[in-house]
Amino acid sequence: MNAPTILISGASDGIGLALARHYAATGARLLLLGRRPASGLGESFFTATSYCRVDLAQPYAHAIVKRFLLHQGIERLDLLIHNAGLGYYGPLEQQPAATINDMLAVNVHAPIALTHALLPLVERTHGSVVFISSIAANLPVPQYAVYGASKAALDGFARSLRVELAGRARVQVIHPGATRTAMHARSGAPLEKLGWSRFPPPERVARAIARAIASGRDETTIGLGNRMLRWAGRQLEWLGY
Amino acid sequence: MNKHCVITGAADGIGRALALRFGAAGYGITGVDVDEARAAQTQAELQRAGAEARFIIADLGQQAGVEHAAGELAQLPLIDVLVHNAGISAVGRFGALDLARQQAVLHLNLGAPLLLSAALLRQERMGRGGSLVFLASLSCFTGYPGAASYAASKDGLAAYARSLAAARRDLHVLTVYPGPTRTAHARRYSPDNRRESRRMPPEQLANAIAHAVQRRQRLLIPGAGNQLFALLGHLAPRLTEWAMRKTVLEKV
Repeated sequence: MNAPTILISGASDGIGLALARHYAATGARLLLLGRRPASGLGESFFTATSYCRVDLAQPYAHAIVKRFLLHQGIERLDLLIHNAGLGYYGPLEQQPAATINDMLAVNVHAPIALTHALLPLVERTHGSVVFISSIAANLPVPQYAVYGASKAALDGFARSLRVELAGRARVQVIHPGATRTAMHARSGAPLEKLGWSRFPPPERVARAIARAIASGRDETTIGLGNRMLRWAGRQLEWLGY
Repeated sequence: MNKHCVITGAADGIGRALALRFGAAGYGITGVDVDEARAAQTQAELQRAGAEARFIIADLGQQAGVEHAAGELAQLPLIDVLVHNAGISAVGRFGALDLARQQAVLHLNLGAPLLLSAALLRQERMGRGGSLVFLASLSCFTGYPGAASYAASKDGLAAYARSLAAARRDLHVLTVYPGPTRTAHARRYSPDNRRESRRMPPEQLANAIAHAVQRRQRLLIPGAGNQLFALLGHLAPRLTEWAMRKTVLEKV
């Protein structure tokens, strides 16, 4: 059997990089999206034929990715993993319009546009479209209001798309909790106050994500504590909190 | 002085019904809408009914439109009730449906209320204890195969409202989850209009929202049938997804 072809967005750092390492070790054909220049990426699996440098906040990013795949002769995708995401921590009235727009562009518009552009490739393998969401989607998160909204939007999109694609492709949503990645530092969150050093490292979270994808389950929350939090969040929502 | 109610998408449909309802309750109404002709009609209608009414013409689907509306609102009295009502939909199979149209849905339904709320809160335009009302959708509980981007926009909006309510205890936040409503919007986007008479009249919905604002409710699912469907969606999501598949997806 041929090695699976796997596309990962946000692959140059954090959970995406850990996922890329994990799948590289299995011998998969990788297609990796990131914003950083290729020269700054140490791993040997970042090559001219695997790495597409693209800023997903740009409106035509999906067209750039599609063209890249065409150039590489990629006609099938087994896994399309939407992992790239921006964070912002702080009072929502202080979040500038530009960062609200960027966050919606990267966290919501880009995965939807990429799915629209690449769905035929995933359907060809009866593969899976995977969304890396967050438990923040199901909790009131006053300091992460737009982030939580962007992840909830992704969940709503995935839920409806799953019903549409039944029998042709899988749609899977993974909800990690807080992870020890640079997204938190970049978001402006007070790392020490949040207990950043206690967050699980991206490698461990990536392994759990890969297991969840392999299981074929529609939805997985990573970690028992996160599962309980998310469950509570969903009950509270029903009560209006 | 009159209380001030701002309603986006107020020229037609649910927004117009809300404008008339809040106008009748003595609020001064500021509508925001992209449709200039309809806005003029609704403004005249409000004024004939004795309400103080004005419209800001802006396309909230564009960043410049949001900025224009926020700038105009900064010149007006503080806001007692702000209703994020403007919305569009796009119905069809995701892969076959034009991407630009789906993006327009996300910009207007999700981007605009987030940007406008942030801008107005930044400029401290909400009056003391004012109400922010977000029109989400029953689809938040039931799923909406055949309108995936619309479902995304409404789930995102409801989540934002929830975080906003937690962040700003000094304000009142109400999230409304309407089911099918008897508007031109629904007629345009529904694959099957034969049972239009069973949709809720917008006046009834507007009335329920006005009461919920008065009682400072946090959540409103208007109508017993919708409440039952939402509960089903909460307890047995597969069942409502199947029902939506039958009634929407298989007809587009």
